[in-house]
Amino acid sequence: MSGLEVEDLCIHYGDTTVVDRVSFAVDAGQSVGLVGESGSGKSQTALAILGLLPDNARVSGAVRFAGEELLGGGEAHLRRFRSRRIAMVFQDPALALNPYLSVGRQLAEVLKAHRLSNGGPLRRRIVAALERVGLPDAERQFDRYPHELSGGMRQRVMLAAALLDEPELLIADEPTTALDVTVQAQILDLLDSLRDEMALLLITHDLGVVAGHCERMLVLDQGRLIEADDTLSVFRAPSHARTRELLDASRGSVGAVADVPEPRRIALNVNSLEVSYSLSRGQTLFAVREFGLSLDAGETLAIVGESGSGKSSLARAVAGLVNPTNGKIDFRGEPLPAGTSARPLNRKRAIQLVFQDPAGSLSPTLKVHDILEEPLAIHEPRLEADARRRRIFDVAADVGLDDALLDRYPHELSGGQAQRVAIARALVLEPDLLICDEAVAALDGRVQNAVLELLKSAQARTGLAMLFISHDLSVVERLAHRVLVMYLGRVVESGPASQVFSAPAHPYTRALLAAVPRPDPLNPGGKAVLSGEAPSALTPPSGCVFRSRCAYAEARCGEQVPPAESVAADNNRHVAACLRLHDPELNGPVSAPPAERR
Amino acid sequence: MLRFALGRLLAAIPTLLFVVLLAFTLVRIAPGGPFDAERGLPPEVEANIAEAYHLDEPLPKQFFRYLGGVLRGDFGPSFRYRNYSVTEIIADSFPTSLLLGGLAMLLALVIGLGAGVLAALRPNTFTDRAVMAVAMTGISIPIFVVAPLLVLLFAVSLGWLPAGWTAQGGGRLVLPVLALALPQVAYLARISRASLLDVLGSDYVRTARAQGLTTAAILRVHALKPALIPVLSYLGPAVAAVLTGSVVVEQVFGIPGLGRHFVTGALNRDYTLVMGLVILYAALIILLNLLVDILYGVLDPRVRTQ
Repeated sequence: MSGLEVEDLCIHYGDTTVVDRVSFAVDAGQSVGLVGESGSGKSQTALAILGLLPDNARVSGAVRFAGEELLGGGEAHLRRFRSRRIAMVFQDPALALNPYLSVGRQLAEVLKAHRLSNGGPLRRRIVAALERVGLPDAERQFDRYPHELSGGMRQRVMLAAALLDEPELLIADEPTTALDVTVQAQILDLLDSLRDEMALLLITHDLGVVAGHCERMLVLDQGRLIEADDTLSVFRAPSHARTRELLDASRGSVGAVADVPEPRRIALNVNSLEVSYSLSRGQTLFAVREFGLSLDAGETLAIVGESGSGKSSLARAVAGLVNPTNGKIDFRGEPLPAGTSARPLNRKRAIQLVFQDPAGSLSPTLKVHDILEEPLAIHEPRLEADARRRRIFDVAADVGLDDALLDRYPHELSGGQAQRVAIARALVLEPDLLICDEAVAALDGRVQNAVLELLKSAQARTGLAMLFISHDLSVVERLAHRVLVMYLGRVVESGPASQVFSAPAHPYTRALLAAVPRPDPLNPGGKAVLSGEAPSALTPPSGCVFRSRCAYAEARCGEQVPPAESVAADNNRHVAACLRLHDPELNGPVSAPPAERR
Repeated sequence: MLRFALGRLLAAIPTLLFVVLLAFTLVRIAPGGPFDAERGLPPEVEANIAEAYHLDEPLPKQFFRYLGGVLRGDFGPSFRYRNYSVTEIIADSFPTSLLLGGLAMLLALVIGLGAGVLAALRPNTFTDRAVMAVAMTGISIPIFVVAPLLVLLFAVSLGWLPAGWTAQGGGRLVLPVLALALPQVAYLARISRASLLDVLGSDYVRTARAQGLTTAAILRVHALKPALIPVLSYLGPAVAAVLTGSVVVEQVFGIPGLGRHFVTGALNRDYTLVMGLVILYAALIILLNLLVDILYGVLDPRVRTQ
């Protein structure tokens, strides 16, 4: 037996059981996906294999690798396996790398720990290892520190460290969750290409990732293994009802997007908006440039982009949380002053926000009831106590919050409940515009769907306009009427959601859509069309900001900022900013850009 | 680095000026003066003294006269210790305090950090609890209790060490240094334990474990450096306090150090002495904090690039 065998693994913390009699095997060379929602015990299982759980965890059962027992053997015994035979990469490379040590030093310490430091000059071997994982300019990265690298580069460094000793099994715990979708596709491709003989245990919440990269899959639910089979079989015919729910949630079984009510009334109009930040040494970072949008009452506009695209700065400028350096924001036909302090109270009330981190956006010292009461106390101070209480209970019911929860503190809520509270806090003021900044990004699939449904029904009930900021295209697909794609502070494409998703026109939008993993083993998506990562917003390319990563870029793309043009002559709602928009070559198949231009 | 340090030193000048102004104003607001006596002096004598020490001049003029002296390195004559200038008093007593404080801080660093690391490596065990209990005791028992107890035990009962400063040789240093170091040992042990525990729980230490590094390598390579950051922040003001002497320790052991002047100077309304000490202390704090900030940069690459 050369692979990994886990038998009756149990993990307890005090009286709480987080993993309950889990048994599975990963054969040599096999790729296995371990999926489940947060709290299902998947990371705990992975950490238990290498004995990395905290001291207060009690572990029982058996973990064998190549026939040798790993549990209970002590640190010295485990060190013979760690990274030499079983390597591990973690979720957030920004935290998993030591910020105090240079990249080269961290890899050198691994070599030293494995007594491999005698096989030739350390530096050359480490640079070779960094080159193997596709780290650009590996020689220079050797002396750099983790904070000087981008997210994708950091995860490549983690991989390089993990692969130094040619392990037989790689455990990857959510290795791409902290990365942008186009970078995720690159890293997952890299993982596949590096595998050769190595087995892979890929832990993820994303069924799309499993569909594209794992032969077998295991499903954990509340600490129990409920499914273990070929990936294709599980997707075709899940044996457990909970697996089916997970699959449904990942496929986004949310009702259709309702039409925008007629007659259309313009809620928000943004024109030539610019948001910039002054940095030290006289540098200026342009987060948003020449930005325009319009949004009708009852309509949802999704702003899509990867990190650094400026989407959050845009949301903050509209909300008045940062002062735009230029441009005009009209709200319901009247100009909106920049900054909240300049806005009259009723204007502030009409625009409400929901943030990404539900727990972090609720005051930990207030009970849910008080959190919902505070906006009323500010904006409707004359409301009678009775009426106020009714409003609070009504809005809680609207977002599906049980009355009993009103008496709790935020830390006593689940992520989904906390986000419902955040939404209720926004809705209790009956706003005209709701800005959701990555509002479902921190939630599990099923909870995500429920919250999206909740937002849709609130919109249908009150006719509010929604500005939905997200990096997740599969979420946007289920909610938005219109989509606007941003790259390095500029709009590259916008149009009705159905048109943008079915017929993306801009090369960046196409690459973005191709990179999204789809929960379908036969057509898994997740294609790495783009190489590299977006350049720093401090030094954007001249002309078209996307040209440095564009397979179709020509000399003229560097000379002129492409204007937004209609994608089709008879349709002025779907526009894209690309000089080669109507070039037949650009409109060929996405996955095969002309080779000589790459 | 050099530019950063020079910039910070330049920025310290207005701070120091403000401190001088504040000290000057505060001492003069305090009721009473340096030459008030039980029996009032004859008015003409009082006028003579006031003239000699320029106390008859308007306050702003006095202030700038003082400031001019300070810029030339002259902190003026002491108002109380006749024939002594403030510079002489400080030059007389500061080296003693510097020596005692420096030794105490070194001792505290070695023992405190060692104990903290030991406790952090075995959290919630007997070792940990014992170290923390001793540390808690060290913090909660005031120095004016500890110092006499040390004398009682080592000088009076056991007779191993001299009790006072009049004895010759290095032996007289031991007890005062111990008394000064003890509370610092306690603080340093607590801070280093907490920060090392924090670092040991970090993701990158887990990574290092997954990479097969030994505990010793993890400590040496990954954990100690980041764990030092909170210790450094504490050390800045702590070193300044310890180096300038302790009234209690000097009193108990009869040491002619700087610490007692902080108290007697204030009680005597010795304007120039108080201000000299305030300037010395402020300059020391500024210097040490600058040193701490430079060390942050040495330890943490993220600070360096900013």
